[in-house]
Amino acid sequence: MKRFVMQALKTPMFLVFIAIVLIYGIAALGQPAAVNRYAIVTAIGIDKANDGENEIEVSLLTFTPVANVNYTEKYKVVSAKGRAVSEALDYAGLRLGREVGLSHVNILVLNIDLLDEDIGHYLDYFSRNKVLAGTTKVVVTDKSAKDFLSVVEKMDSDSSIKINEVLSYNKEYVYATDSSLESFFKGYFGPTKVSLVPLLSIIKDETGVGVSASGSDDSGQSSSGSGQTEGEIVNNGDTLVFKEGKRVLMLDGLDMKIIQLIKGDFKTGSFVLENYSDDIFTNAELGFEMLENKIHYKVVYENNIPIFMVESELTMELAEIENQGVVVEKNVEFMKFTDQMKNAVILKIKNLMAEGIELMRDNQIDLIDFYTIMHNSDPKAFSKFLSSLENEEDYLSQMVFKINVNIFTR
Amino acid sequence: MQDFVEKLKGDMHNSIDFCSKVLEKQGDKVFFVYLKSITDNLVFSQAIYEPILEYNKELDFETLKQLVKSNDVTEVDQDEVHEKILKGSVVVFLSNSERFLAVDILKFNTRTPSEPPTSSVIMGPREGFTEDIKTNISLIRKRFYGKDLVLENLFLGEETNTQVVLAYLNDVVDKKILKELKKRLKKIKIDGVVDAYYLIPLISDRPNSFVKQIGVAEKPDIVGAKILEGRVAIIVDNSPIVLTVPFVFLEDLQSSNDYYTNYFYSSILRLVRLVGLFFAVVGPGIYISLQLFHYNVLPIKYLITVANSTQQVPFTPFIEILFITLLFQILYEVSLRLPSYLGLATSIVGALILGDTGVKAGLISPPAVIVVAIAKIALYTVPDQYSQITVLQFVFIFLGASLGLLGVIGGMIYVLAYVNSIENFGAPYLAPFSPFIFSDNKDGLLKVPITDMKNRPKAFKNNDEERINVQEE
Amino acid sequence: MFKRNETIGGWQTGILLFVLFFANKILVLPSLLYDQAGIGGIYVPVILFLFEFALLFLFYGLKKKYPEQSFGQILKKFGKFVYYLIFVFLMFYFLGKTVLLYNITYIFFKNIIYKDTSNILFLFCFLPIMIHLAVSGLRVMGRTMQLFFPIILIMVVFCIVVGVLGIDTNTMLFTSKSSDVFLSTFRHISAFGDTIFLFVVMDKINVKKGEWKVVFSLAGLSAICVIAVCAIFIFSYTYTSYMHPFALFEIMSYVKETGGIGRIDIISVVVIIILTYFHLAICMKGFLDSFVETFKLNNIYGSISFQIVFLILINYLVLNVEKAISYGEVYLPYISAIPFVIIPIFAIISLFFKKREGRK
Repeated sequence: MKRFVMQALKTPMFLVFIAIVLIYGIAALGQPAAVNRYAIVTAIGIDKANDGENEIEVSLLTFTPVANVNYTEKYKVVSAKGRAVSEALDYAGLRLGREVGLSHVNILVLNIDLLDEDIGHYLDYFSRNKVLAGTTKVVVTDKSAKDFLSVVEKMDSDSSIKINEVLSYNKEYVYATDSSLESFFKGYFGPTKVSLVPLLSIIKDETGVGVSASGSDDSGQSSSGSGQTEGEIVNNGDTLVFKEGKRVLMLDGLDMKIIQLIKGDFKTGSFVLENYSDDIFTNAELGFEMLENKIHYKVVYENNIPIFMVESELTMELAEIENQGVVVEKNVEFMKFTDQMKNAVILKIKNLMAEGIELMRDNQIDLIDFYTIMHNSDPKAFSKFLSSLENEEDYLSQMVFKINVNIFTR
Repeated sequence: MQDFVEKLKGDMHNSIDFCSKVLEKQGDKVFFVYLKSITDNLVFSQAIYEPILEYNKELDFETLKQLVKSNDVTEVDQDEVHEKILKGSVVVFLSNSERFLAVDILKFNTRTPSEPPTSSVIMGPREGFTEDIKTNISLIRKRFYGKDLVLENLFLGEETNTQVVLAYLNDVVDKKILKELKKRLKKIKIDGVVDAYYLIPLISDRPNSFVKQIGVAEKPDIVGAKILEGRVAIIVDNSPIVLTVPFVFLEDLQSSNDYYTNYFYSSILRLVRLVGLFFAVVGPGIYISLQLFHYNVLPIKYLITVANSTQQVPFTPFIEILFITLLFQILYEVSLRLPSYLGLATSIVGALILGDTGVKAGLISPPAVIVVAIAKIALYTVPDQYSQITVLQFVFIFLGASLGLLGVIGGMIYVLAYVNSIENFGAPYLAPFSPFIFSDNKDGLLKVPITDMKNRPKAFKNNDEERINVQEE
Repeated sequence: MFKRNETIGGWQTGILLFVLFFANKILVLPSLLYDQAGIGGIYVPVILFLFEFALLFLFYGLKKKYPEQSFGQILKKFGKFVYYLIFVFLMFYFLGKTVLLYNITYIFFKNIIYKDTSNILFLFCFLPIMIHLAVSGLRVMGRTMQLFFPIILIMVVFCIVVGVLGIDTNTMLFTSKSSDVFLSTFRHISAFGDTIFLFVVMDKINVKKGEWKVVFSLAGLSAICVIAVCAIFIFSYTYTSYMHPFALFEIMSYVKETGGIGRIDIISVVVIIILTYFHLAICMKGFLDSFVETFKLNNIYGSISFQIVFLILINYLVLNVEKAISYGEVYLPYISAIPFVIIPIFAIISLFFKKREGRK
């Protein structure tokens, strides 16, 4: 025994291991799993508190484990008020009886009422939080964020389609935008100060019981929304434009489509040409499938004025022809994407792009980040151009745009 | 001479198998002394006793030698008689002569060579070593019809005087390794060597280490291959295990099956073994560390599954994992010692209790059972390292529960650094991975065809590097 | 008979350099570089790696001239004062690096994967492994790194490839002034200069004739990986670098949802853990060898105890990354004059020293 002890003392790592086991191993015997120590939050909603005080109400959609061998997802919504997000989260933790764990948050919902101020203030906590991923989706809702989360609670618990999947899928389509926390702040701190956040509506029908009223004179009073709100989340493609964190404009689905056409951020989707007439059709509506969109930009300076050339190469496929009241023989020519159609499409897209540029000029919002493109192409010339302006922020109105569109078919 | 016989009997402490016979011939006495438990009685009767009995003329020592019908007859001195009797010879001597004749008629029951359970192959030799050293030597010798195989004899153990044979190729083995091995064997002062495993700590570089440092093989084809690479085989009497030195860890990742099948398939199998080994060692540790410390790196679906499964379990994750691991270990020990007709009952009890009833009762969770079960099964991808991996499993469970992922990875670095510091007879333990030896890696994790393995391993020294010289037309 | 040789060969030296160049530059450095020099922060590692390679070439020259001698023996030719001065500075240099790297990675682990654990746990994790690797010798350290190297390389390449997917090509270029770049270069000089470790263990390095190519190739590969990580980070997180202090981890977070396999940024965490262990062990070994060289101690555990006590004390003084970084930015650049100014001077003189003797 003595020899064994002497041998062990000569091996320091053995002693270290024993020390680790004694100090931490014994404590670990009684340590519950992390899932039981933290409340797993998958969505956060921020509302303005209705009690008149300068407070916000933070709602959390938390996962609730169910003792079950089968895969079951059950969520609940918990709310808390506070003067700042961090305070509200602390109170929510008290309500839950656990520390709030934000590492699995997928979506951050803001109430539209918050948009009168710089929303960067509300999102500041999340920008500094190292745990929250930059890919967390930021959305705005026209109803309260708490109701939104109640609908999401039902969606995530019952259906096979989760809100996260809906948002990820949406971003692939031409009338939607990628709105993560990262992209918001990139625009917020970038040269244009412009950020885009989608607006999601709820079409709801409240039927649930047990929806307790939230409201108290004391700050920190929290409530739980245990009744699920029946409703549906609708994405109409509406997008809010923020400049320096303040809302300046709302774009609908068609406006976003135009912006995406100019941006060249390839999205799939459809394109409709109305009132098309030629030898075969009269006032037909043609539907096209957009397959690829390559955009090239070129900037040249003439007399210190930048001429911004946008060259778009769109690959499209004729998907549908709606031609009422005319009997047309169905043959091979009928199915073809003719040159006449192409020209009509090109004209329409050019007009749309021009409208988009006008929209940006009128509102002094640079949604495409022309600023960076022009700076990178010739920093000195651009700097000279900017210094020649009375108002440097109004550079869009002084620029000349030339648009060239080519259509390719598959 | 009668006194001499009595003295011999007294030296053997009047053992019941000590036998002495006296034959009176022409006024002279012929003495036969032997141990009947280890001699062949039939050979004794027919080849020794009867010819002498039937001889009617005057008997002298030279005539005696002619009469004995055996080719293993040696004349010995008086002080060698004792040893010869103990080694299974019958010693014959005349009352009027000081000369002794020893005739080797050693015989004891041995089993026939059969396939060892941990080294089975789909296609290939199925012979395995037995407890008889002569059989083992013959199994090796029949694979080497060349003249360079050397078999050297020595005896170890003060009480057992066990025969130990060193086998090597004279023109291949490095003489320094051989010299060092002989030096270590000669230093051994032990009462008995019952099995080859007794020698392992006595000849290892680090006897107190838990790491395996001497190669172990149960099949002659494996030992033959190792001798061809320049290793020395140590065959011990009464042991079906043959030791080989120097040893590198890679030997346990290889299997004899790899050489009797397609090289591509063998490469895949070796990678699978490595993955199995990795999972066996650190799998439970990583699982427990993720559950206790690192929930935020897990995907949400995994979290939901584990959270739901563990809700009703009364134990904390660490206790649960320890409990299941111990249960598996107990089952293993029981299955080793239980008679085979009770094995079925044990499997049913184990499967039902662990797999079904325990989970349904909410005492243990399915993910924990799965992780530990896979880890325990994966141990057998490298069965020769079973004991080391079992120890490491427990170590990593403790590290994972105490310190989390940092502890598990730190433990891995420590263990690998520790084994990297081991060199057996000059061969780095983790060769050819570290230090990286390109040519040895042809038979490392991935295996190339035999025609491409032109040289012997460079992990340890040998005197003849070239193995294959394929003549290209 | 089988006496253990403590030397390492060309491959292990190259891998050592890979770890040295890469390990401490993939966490906070890219974010700091961008904050101070903007897009021009990319040039900082390029400039400083040029200095590193110049040091490496000097080492190569010295090794060619003095294949068997240690750096201490070479320095003794300049007198005992120079010899002791440099080794004492080297001691503090390695100590400072250990503290800086330890604190930065401690903050990273605490924020990202450990939440409510104490400082002592990290000391328990790091110290035993650092000590064991440092005490076991350079050969064991080299072999263990060689074993992990393929895993580290594959994971690093994977991280870089994944990071490239998250790059925003619309980033404002040409916005930095050269003065900002050079100021940032000076401030972050302490993150470089790791080649000096090779000088400390010079007599234990035995690179064969054809293996120098391997050494330089691996060093070059590491430099390219660091510059790639910096570039990817700066292009991915233009304007938002303050939100992403831990570069290698952050460049993977952007695509973590891809493929439904969950958080692939765990790969970057594993790489950082492995590299940190090795780099801390190397710094401790550098300190140990300098300590032993200075004080001629046979008892290696005595010198380890000094470092442990210092590390523990420093941790209670420097407990947040901002303080650690500010000390690193304020004081360490001056101490970094050792690898970038003083030692090269003496190395260059030593290279010509023998020639003069030859002429005599």
